[in-house]
Amino acid sequence: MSESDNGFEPRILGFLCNWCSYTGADLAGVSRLQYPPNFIPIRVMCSGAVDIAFVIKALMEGADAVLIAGCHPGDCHYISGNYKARRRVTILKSILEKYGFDEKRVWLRWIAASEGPLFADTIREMYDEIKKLGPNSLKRSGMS
Amino acid sequence: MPVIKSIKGDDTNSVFRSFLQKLLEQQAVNELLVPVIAESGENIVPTLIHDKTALDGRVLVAPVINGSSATHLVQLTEEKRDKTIGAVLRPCEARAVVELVKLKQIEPENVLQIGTGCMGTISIRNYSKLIRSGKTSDGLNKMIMKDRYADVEKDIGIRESCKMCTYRISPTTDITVGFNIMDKGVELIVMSQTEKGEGVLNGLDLPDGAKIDGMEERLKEMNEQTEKFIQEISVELDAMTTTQEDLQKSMDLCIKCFNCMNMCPICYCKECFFKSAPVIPSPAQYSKRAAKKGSLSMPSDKMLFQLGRMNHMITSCVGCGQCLEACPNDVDYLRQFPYMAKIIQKIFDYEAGKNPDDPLPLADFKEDELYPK
Repeated sequence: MSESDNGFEPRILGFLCNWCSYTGADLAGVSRLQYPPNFIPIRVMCSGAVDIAFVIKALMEGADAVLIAGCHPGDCHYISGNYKARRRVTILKSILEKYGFDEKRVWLRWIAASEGPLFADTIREMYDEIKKLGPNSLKRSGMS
Repeated sequence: MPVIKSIKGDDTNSVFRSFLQKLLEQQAVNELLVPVIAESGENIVPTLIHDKTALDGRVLVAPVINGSSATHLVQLTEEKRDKTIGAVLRPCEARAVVELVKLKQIEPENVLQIGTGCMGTISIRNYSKLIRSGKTSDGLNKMIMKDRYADVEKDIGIRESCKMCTYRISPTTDITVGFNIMDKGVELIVMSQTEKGEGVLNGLDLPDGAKIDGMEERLKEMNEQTEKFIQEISVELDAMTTTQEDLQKSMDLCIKCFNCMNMCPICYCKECFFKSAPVIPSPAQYSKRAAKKGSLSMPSDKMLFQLGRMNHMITSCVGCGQCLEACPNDVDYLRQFPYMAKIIQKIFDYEAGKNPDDPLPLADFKEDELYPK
């Protein structure tokens, strides 16, 4: 149990790129690394293929945080998808911040196929951070 | 060096009309897309002109805009044809054209872009009322040209997005036209801005003209006023949406009619993502979501649509304000677009519609930028 135990169990949604981060998550699994079970992974072909609308939808429909993870810069299977994801996430965060949302609920990270431990660490770090932040107010009643 | 031509006449309408008729007459273009004041006089309608006689006696110059002509150019250039269209565009429309060319929605090859100077426009709803109350298009033109920031805005209500716009002329059109109001009569100054424009103007049988003295200083002065207004209004817009409650207040008024999306020149998708199957819930999903949240306001996903649309198109937003014009409920959130566009485009050192050679921010990247590295 983490020190900031407030009884709140966050729901964290993740879009993991097929070539790096999903394989990294797989490696964390086969290496039997422990990480909080609050993470719901979705495999996508590329971090650049994640439409930002799905991130907003996730935040409005029950996710307390969203992770987008892709290949390290220069390693994208489709050459530049991760760079484009980075621009989109930057736009989303700027807009969310402007309207009083906590942009800390959207994470973009680079996790390679060989980085199982980094994947587990990222989820642990995220779990702790979001637990501190508390439930996402966007998903509450009346917001639509 | 740009080619400059001049046409002299009695009033703004007649000189502009004779220039456009000359383009048709000398077959520089086959058709013209030009906003024409309707016969009722109460409205302006973008019109595709084939015969030059159709322009006879019609009023073409009025400080009002009815939809962005950029969207019509998307339709008119959908197939490759051997007809050349001369399109009369205000700066916001010309800038939307630049973005739509980059987005591969307009084929500019057979379009001759004719940019008009713009001191701002009145909402179409206001314009009809003003005409009915006895004002004339010419009178309104003169009021706006004289001083677009002083008392005039209180009387006639220049649109907020126009007051925030820093473009008095279109920087990218093939040809740009401007009026030189003289003591007696009016001179139309026609200037080329591209090679295509140069070719067309050289082929026209018109007397040479010269730049208007002191024009650049005047434009600079006007832009200083505009910057001042932007600073003032930014404080208001900023204060309007700092919390989720403010945003929800706007969304409570949204009826998801998609008018803002339909009228947006940049929103070009044949089928909007927010009308597509992945975001339209099934009856069971509605119930499930209502059960999970305790309640679900209808129509659902207004905030998803509004925030999502902003995320999708804000890097190309030219701040024309057509979304707000089209909104039946005057949703305050739409007022934010010109303001947010400036903030977001600044991150990528981009200004929508300014330079045809700047790549679209969403289709481009730098290796060493932003977070995470």
